[in-house]
Amino acid sequence: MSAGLAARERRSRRGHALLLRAFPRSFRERHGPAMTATFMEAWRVVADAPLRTRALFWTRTASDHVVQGLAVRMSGGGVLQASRATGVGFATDLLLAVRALRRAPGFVALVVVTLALGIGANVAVLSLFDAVLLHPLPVAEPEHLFAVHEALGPAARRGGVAYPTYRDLRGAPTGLAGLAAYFDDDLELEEEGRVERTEVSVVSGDYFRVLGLEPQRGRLLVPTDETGSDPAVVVLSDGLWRRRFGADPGAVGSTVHLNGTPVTVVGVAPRGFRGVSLGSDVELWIPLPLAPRIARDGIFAAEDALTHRGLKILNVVARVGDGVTPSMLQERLDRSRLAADAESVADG
Amino acid sequence: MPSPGSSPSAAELLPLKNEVLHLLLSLLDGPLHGYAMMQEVERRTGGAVRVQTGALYRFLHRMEEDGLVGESPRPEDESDERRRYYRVTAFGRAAAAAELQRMRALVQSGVEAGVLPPAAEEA
Repeated sequence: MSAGLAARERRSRRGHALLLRAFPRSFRERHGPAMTATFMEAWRVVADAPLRTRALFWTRTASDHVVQGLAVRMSGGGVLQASRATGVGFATDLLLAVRALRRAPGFVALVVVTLALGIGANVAVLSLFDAVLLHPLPVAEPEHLFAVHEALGPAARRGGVAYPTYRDLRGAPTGLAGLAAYFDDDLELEEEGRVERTEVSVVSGDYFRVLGLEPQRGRLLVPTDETGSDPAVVVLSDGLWRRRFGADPGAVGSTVHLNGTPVTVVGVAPRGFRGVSLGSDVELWIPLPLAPRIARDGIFAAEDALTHRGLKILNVVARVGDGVTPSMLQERLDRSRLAADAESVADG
Repeated sequence: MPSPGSSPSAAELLPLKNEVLHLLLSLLDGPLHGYAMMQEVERRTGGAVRVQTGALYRFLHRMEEDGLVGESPRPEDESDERRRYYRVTAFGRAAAAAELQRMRALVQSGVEAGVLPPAAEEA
């Protein structure tokens, strides 16, 4: 799979995760994974289709999920039975209205598309509102975290950061409390013969320390996982640990295969933590040096993915002390003679 | 309409929704996962009936509650553990048969009224 297609697939899965919010939580917990699997199979059919076809697919999916989600929330029964439509009054009026509308398919399509986009956009905004304001990043003191971008020039200032640049920045006397890097990707997780495409965050060794997170089981990734000779370790999300391992404490220390490569499970991340990016649903964390060893495609399949200064692929998060403002951080970064840009994570 | 919590008879569920009948028919040859059911319904109806993902799982949720379908073990060669397989139950078969019998009676009414030719003549 090309890097572009993999990225689109990841975005589509996130988009579908937002649409699933239309259904009640109990319904999502019961059917969510199967619905996602079904949706992604349908998505792959149109993945390379013209934009118009893909837009129609998304419109249909959005309207379907919103309508069915509302129906599940509102219905007590009657799902299986066809309307008996034998009465008078409202039922008859409704039937006549439907018949009339069937003669004006263009109008109906316009209304449906408008409603779908409107409702879909509202669902997305409310989900964003929920993610940003009601459920902020589950890390220690998120107000002390800032996103750091490598300057790409006046036309596109906020790029990612190349790994060599990140290491230089991390070693420079910037006075920061910590600087972590990550890149979200997909890979195949195989455990006891079962293979699953899984969202993974490829991270620097101090990622969890910078975020101020503690393990639920075992340990999290540490700097020596990035700098040492054996980076073949992985941390599981709480969700994956429960779903795939039945919350078995013995999962820590076991071996799983990532893209066919054996890797040791060293710990389980705290419950509720699913990565740093908005809407991400990360289920595995691996050290940066492991990614090129196991990559079959995508950016990490490039030999120089971690050595080329032009490959500005990493998201970088800085932790600062009390009272440090974005402009103060910018000044410190500028002093380090590295072209970088900073913005508050808390401000989005 | 059966009351919540009770076990409905097949007749109580009639008339079945078009999609529900086709979903039951799609499972007659064996257990399928969601996407395979969507494809099978589309194939059986020549594209006339298409079930979207949200509708599919809303129907399956209720069909399972009413005992028309049940979850089936995942085949050994299935690698995606998110997939859930469904099978039609004996009650589901009975409901599909009852619905088709109801349709047959409707068609017979049409024949007797002279609106439709007898099946043999039509063929």
